[in-house]
Amino acid sequence: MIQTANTQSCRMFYTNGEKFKTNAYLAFYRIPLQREEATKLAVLTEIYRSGIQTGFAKDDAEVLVAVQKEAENLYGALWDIQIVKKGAEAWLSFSLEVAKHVTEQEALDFLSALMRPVTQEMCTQVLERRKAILRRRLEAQADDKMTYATLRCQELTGGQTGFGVCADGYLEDLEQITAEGLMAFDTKIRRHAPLYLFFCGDAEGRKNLKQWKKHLEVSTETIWTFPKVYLEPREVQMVRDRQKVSQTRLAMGFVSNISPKSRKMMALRVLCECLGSSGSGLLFQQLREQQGLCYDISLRCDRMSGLVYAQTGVAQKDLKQSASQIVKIIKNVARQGIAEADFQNAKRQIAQQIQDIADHPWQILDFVAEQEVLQTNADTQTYLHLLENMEQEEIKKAAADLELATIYILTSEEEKKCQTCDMPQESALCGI
Amino acid sequence: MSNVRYAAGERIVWDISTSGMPCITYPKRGFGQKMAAIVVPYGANGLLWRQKGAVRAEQFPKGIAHFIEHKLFVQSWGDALHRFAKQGAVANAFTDGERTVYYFTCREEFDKNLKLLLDFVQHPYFTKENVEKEKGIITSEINLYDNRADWVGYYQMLDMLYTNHCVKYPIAGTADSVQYTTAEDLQKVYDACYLPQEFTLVCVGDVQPFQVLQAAQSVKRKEKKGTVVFCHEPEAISEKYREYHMNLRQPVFQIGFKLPERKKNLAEKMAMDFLLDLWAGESSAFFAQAYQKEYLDEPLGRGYFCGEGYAFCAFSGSGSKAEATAELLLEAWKKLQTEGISKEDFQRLQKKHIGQILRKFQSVQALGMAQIDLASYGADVGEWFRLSKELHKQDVEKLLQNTIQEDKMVLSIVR
Repeated sequence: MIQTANTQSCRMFYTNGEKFKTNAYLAFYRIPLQREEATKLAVLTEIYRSGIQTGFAKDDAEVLVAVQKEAENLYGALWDIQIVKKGAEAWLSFSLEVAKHVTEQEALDFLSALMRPVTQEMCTQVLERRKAILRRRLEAQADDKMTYATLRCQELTGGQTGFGVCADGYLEDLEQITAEGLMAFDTKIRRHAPLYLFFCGDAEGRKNLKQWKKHLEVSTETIWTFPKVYLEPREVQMVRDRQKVSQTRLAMGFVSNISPKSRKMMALRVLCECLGSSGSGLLFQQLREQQGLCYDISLRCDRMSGLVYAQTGVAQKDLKQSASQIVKIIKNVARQGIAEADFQNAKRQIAQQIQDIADHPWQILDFVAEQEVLQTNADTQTYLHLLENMEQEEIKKAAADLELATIYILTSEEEKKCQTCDMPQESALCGI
Repeated sequence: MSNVRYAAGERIVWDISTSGMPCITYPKRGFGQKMAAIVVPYGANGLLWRQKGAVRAEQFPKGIAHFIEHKLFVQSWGDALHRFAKQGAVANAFTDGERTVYYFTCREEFDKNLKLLLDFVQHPYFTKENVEKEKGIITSEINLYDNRADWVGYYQMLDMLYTNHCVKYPIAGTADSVQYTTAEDLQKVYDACYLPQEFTLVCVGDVQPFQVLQAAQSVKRKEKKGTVVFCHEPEAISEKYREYHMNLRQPVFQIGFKLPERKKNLAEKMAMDFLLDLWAGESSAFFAQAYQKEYLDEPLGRGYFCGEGYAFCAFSGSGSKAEATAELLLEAWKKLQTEGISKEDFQRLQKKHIGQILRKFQSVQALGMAQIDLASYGADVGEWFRLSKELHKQDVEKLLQNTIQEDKMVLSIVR
């Protein structure tokens, strides 16, 4: 059930980007990610990506090329229309980055054309082709083993909540999507989804934003609200898929239920940095450098959901050892903490990542957007201050908060059963 | 004496260290991030080496440049990666056919990190024990790439284009070649091919060029005792069509065109990139047709590659109509040859390319990576920017003649 509330439906944000060579524009509609509407949203995005709404040409192949020619004439403007998954929600986003040679009017005319509503006639014209494109893309997901293993692990860990919904849609839902249904869905989004406009660039950006808003139809109806999602504790699930692979992929999902707004989220980030975000992380050092079990290994946290994912590629014979090592290392941190020097290094790395935001226009926009959506009212200084005061004890608590929820294995080997308990052999690692 | 150049409102400073190593600095005010990279002009293609005065060349194990890259961070005093992290930097490295690059990014302690970078690349510490341990890790890396259909298809294409040239071998080598590589091999290749006077140092961020030069003076010149050589490569391709099966839901394919060997030239590379865009880019007539016929959903990936002893163009895509796509691509080339390039198309793509280069100045890392790519041309991003503005339609039209030949085309498919 989607909740609604009466608040301002269009919010605008300007950030100074005078030091950059380009102006960056970002608009997004904020949408609750639901299983039953995920495919509709993915197809709708595909329709917009076709560029048919711009009216630059009539034929669907010609319009694709015409939109691209327009972008090239704007000094190779970079544009995109995509679904960005953020925790349990999806942002239907429209973005444009143009060199500062390009006038504000030219940029806004192009962007406004991309954001123009699709009519049912236009939708019908391109629907089957765009569905076919999406179908092929969804089918091909399993061909990229590394990404697929992570994606499956995310789905399994997030379960029935928005965290577990795949924003790219589902093959089995594609057939039933019609132009009428899509148009109704599009209208619903434009009426009820909060709209956010962002600009990073020259000083006259505030003026640009007002100008931009004039090009858009902004709803005055009630808007959707986004309740907090909580994942209930549950048994560890182990899923194994068989595919022809040259190396077994192991992905593990952990639930923390830490709110993105909470101070604990920063502790979780520091924990993940200590363990596995770079070559100096504990997982990399112990599994790769000391034991030579793998080439790639990472542990990262999704800041909007508090879910943590570990993933690596190993020989089948090392699967059990690798999985239990990952869990053991996390448990050890929960009990004993980490070396002070590693803790300080991790804090320093995170501080740099936060400071680096100011050097990239899209990182600035993403940061501002996340803060607005989370209503933290925080800037980068707030987080740096939080980080400075962080203590080891908080990292231990963050590690203790992690509960293993999923073990996902992508392998070409047949499942071997344990002779004693008749369970899959890998489940012996679930002493975890 | 520094050589200072200006482009797109940015300053580019060229210096030469006493050892002869070029140092290129982009002092970017207002940016907190800093980056430094050492570009070593020795990569995975360097498998044959001839000592001065010798008649025959020596053969190195496949993947050895990449193996050195893995092990160079290990020092007699510990792990350089760890030291970088302690000093607030994130370090990494990569190897391709022609070079090995070691780099770091940081915000503080740039000078200290730069010294560490310059120091560890000059002090290898290969021991039997640490080399043995690395073999499992590299084999795991090879397996990781073997899972990637685009990678498999790319090397299949190179194997069809080239009979002898080492460009056809995967960068990391094979499980076998890695297994037989020893610490002595690594030391021997390092001594022969890591010549600091041939390195290039690239620094980007709010840094002082004189400090960069000062640190670079620690680089010591080494005597050059031989050169990397290549076997004679026939003009013809070795095979026209090959398929490999990986049980994919969506086949991927690569179309390659072998070109005559040539000297690396930035102006020519730019004109080639331009031509590939005109021929098969997002706004090309070829893409519109391929999309309409449902051969392609997305434009083909495309690139021009040129190095010592080889040159080729490659296109990559996915879909079940690889053969038809290749035919259409060839037809589009013939049409382009007959009809020439319109002024409108040329001007539009010139704007696109100028905008793309301008964006490189946008971030410290993008600029650093662009300069790393330009190091082998002895050029900088400013020169690239200038050349793109000065490019003429005739420069691109010249390439329409005799560049692409049907009998030099290969099609590699992974299903």
